[in-house]
Amino acid sequence: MLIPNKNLNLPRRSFLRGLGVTMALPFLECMLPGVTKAAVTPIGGAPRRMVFFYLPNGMDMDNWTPAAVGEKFELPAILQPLEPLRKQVSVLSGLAHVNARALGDGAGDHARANACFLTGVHPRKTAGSDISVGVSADQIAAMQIGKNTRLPSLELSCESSTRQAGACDSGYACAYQHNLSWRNENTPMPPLGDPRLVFERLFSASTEDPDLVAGRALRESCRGSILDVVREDAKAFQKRLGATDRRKLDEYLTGLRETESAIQQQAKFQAAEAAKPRPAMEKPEGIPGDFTEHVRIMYDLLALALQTDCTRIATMMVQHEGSNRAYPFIGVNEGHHEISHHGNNAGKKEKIAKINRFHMEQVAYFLTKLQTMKEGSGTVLDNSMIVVGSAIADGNAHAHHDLPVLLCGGGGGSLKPGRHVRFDKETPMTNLYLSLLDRMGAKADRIGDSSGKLERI
Amino acid sequence: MLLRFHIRLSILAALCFATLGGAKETTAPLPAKAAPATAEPADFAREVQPVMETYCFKCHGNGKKKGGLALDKWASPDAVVQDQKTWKHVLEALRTGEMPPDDEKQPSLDDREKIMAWIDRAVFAVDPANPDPGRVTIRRLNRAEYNNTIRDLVGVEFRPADDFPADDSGYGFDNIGDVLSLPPVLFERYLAAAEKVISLAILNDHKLRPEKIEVDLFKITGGPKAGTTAQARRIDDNEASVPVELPVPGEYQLKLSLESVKVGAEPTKLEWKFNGQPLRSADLAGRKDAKEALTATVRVEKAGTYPLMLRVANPLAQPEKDQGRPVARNFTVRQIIFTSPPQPVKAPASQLRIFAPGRGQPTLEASARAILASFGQSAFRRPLAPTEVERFFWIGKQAEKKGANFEQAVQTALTAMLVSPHFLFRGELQTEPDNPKSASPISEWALASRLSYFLWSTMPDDALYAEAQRGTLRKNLTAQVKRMLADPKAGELVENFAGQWLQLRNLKVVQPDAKTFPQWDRALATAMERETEMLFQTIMREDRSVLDFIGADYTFVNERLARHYRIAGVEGEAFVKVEAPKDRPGGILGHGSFLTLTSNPTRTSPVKRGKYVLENLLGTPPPPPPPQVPDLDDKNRKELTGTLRQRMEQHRADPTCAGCHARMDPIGFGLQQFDAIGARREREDDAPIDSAGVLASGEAFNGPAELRAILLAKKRPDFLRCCSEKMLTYGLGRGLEFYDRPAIEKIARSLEKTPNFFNLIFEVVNSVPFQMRRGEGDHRKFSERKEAASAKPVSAE
Repeated sequence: MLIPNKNLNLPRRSFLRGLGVTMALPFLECMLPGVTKAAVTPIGGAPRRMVFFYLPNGMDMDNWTPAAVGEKFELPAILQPLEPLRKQVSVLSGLAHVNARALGDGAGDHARANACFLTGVHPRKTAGSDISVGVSADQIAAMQIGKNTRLPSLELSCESSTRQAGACDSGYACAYQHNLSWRNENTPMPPLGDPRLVFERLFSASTEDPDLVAGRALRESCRGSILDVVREDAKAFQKRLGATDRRKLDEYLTGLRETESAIQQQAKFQAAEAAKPRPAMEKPEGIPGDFTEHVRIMYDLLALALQTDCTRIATMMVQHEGSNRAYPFIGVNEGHHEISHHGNNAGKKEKIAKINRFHMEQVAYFLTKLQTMKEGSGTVLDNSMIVVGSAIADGNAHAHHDLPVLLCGGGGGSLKPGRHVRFDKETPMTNLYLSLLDRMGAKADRIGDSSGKLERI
Repeated sequence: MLLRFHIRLSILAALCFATLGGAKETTAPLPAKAAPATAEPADFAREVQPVMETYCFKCHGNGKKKGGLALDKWASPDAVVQDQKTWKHVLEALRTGEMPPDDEKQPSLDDREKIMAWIDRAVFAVDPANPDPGRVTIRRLNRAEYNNTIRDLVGVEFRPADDFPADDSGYGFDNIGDVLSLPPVLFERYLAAAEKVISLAILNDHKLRPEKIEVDLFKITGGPKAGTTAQARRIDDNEASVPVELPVPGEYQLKLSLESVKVGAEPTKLEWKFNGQPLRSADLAGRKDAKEALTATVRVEKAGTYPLMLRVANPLAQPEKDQGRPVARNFTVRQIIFTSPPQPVKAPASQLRIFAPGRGQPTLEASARAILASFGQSAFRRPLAPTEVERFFWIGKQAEKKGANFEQAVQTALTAMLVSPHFLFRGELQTEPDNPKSASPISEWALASRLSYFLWSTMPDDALYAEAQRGTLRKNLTAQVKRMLADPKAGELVENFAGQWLQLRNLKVVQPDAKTFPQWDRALATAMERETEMLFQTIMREDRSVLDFIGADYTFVNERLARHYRIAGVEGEAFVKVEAPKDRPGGILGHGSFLTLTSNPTRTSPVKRGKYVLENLLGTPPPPPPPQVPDLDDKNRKELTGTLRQRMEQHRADPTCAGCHARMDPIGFGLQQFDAIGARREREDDAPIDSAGVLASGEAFNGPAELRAILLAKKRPDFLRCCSEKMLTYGLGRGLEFYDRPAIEKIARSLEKTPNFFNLIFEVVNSVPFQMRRGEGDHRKFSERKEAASAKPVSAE
């Protein structure tokens, strides 16, 4: 028996604050510009946002890095789609992720790069039994300031949730290669790639589910008792398990706590619901067959999430590191990873550049979208800090220094975009993150291998 | 990491065999009392060090430490055996043949085994006579298991886990407890799914409801038939008719969803009749998005079957300016729904089943308790303590206070059960969970779960529960495993085990280049997946030899695949068993699935094919490529030229690459007669294909048939061991550790004698790690314990 002598020792607390609301949230006060009560409120009272984009397999660096530094530089071929936005984009050169290097662990640069990108930590080489990396920059912020929005953070990708079968990179557990965000050193925050699910998470389509209409109010009012009982069960269960199993139950308890707080957050934002406008977007039906369309719809949703202040912190793993996707619609019929090992073949490098440029076109699409979203006296882009990059520079050599990195948006007046800044060689990428966290109002002394903040951004 | 163990019929292995052997016919497969270790490990200084001096010290001793490794760095014998990290490295290098490098002096097989056996015993304390069962981290249900469990537990056809975030995998499978994390977003989904599942399963009011009756489009007769699917039926000017069964008298709303294309000047006119009475004819809007819907109201005086007729009233469109021939008009029906007048709705079957234990109870409360106890036992996969039932009962009571009726109160309690950790996780209790010296057989309830999630990817059925309840599951293990493998649910083993072991799941995402391979399409991909699944299924259902995975002289094709393989005389979508064609080896090596999965979009990859065979069939994965190969950084490096094979041979001239590629590439070259989508070809890069080669282990071959013959003969032990490792990993839901080697060895040995599928499954199920668990902690502590495992499982869960 699992709960010995617990007869009638029932939970004292029978109600949860904020009941009587639906799980996934309808609309927020933030649909109405200027109503937000942000912790950090720069321009026009609008909050700052922090977003990280990951692009895999490195870049064709010859066509990425501008020749000149400062404000007057020519955009190389890959970056040209950003021309109309160049005043909102800085190219940062010289940053490195040394912890993505082998450091005695042999092959597996793709897994390490993906896992290291936001954590700055050298992931433990394991096929599964003892996964360990670090807390990611976005989650450091989410845990501190995530309470200001309904969703503390949003994790997205442009991939389906059906993973490749078989082992992943060189003895590394697949979790490293498929998650950017890590809540703690063992728990990844898996990204959502299906636009329908993202839409539901953002805009609560569940209230429209005909199967759930009957008895809704009652069901919602009972969630408190349900969660109380299962929490106590989990704790009692935990006492009878070994150390690793107890940690797994910790994940359960964390999930439970966050779900409760999501319910409360929802109640908190309920007030604004009366005036809820519908998003200017129909609920997507699933992952579109066309990849460009998939990317764009995900970027639309992310933009909408930021605009409506559903969250201020997001990650977008456009493709996981090592992805072998082909891009036949732009003339790249080979797999991306396959040709990233170009062996200095000019034709292959050209194709890598094509893929890179394609993704820059999509980034430009996203930034433009944010720029058209007015907010106070500026735009959502003015108030955002968007890092676009990779933890691999040249895919052929798996180099983890001189990384391709863009920093976009005005950071609520705290960034000076529109420049090419070259940092000292091997400057930790995580220094950039520390600087951004600072601007978000989140405290962190260190992230992974960070050695200080970046000054010239 | 899969480990291999090379002791050939040594005393140790014989002992290991004796401990669990013969359990098949007897009762519980519990280990005998620990036998004293008779063979002392070879003394390091006397036997191991001299061998290493001869073969390793040139690079790893006497002041040299290539790759940072020195094998003479230890100050004391104690320090030697404490350094597990180094020895793990050494063991792997020896096992895979990575070291010594090919161009160095090679130790004899005996010397290799001597060192490996010494490492096992002295460093890792692996004692086959006292096997360490290890421990499986508590496993949450993965997406497939969640869906199946909900289906079997609640009885609703609804796959809530399709909306859950992806499950991470480790060791090649997505059912590994250590890797299955539970992020907050998943917990939210669990709560939402539980609420929805229970809402669908139980009706919570007695209101009258309209019933929606959807017409089966396959039942439409008349008119064109071609292309009819469950979602689409073409209608032209011929009368098409369908019988509609209406359950009650009264007024029905009829809704017809369709799509059409406007042809000519006037719109397509629909003529339709219900029960012979014309309905108001309508002009179709010519929308292709299936969003056009026409409605009508019909009335029937009594329940019964009535015909609905559809046709196009204006079949021919005259092209503009009267030029050319008239064009036919038609439209496509997407859905026909009749909505009945409000009527009492019957409780769904799921509700009847869930509520059945409550029948005949003296009070409603007793009834609720009976329902909860029964559902709880299925959901938690073990009996509930009365206090547990009380806690869920209390939840129902709370709901009642808020105005819930009986059904709603039960719904609330059941929802709680579906978010309980006891449902979401498969916990296995033991008396001393943190004492590595304590090992015991898992309870019969836990065993029932291990079996059912292994073979069926779902919860145990009533028969397994009954065995566990009686405590007779171990006694009847053979019969139960046989029964389970014969059950249709064993199809999950094909989908989830084979789908990952042979990577068939990836066929859904491969992207062969449409320009290079215009014949590639989804139908072909699906057919390839099906071919390999059917091979697996046949071996499973007919209890054939697992060697058929490589050696089958038969295969399965439908028309599409037969055309691809150039097999004549197969028609239709259905698969038929055929003799393997002469120009294509039977078994996986000739399957389009394997050949496509291991190719790049535009060309074959001999490396990937070789790697697949080494990893998935022989269990001897090549070491991964070195990180940041310096040469690749060199911009002045010359480009490789010639045929693919010639280019790769130039690549292999690089000593950094040679060692591993010598193991992968020849296998791949042997299969070059099959292109990147597995079609037979004679030439590549405008040159005839050279598919001769020599395996790293020395066997020469020419072409796929000879390669296959080598795998079946010389490599047979490797394949059998590989099957054992993969199946054990999947069955346990954890990565294999060095201390699992005795268990692997025992399964592989049994397969040597009887390589049939049932024997593989049975040996896995009967193995020490499957049957037992120990407390958490260091394996060395386990090996220090004096007595053998206590024979008593933890009974009260």
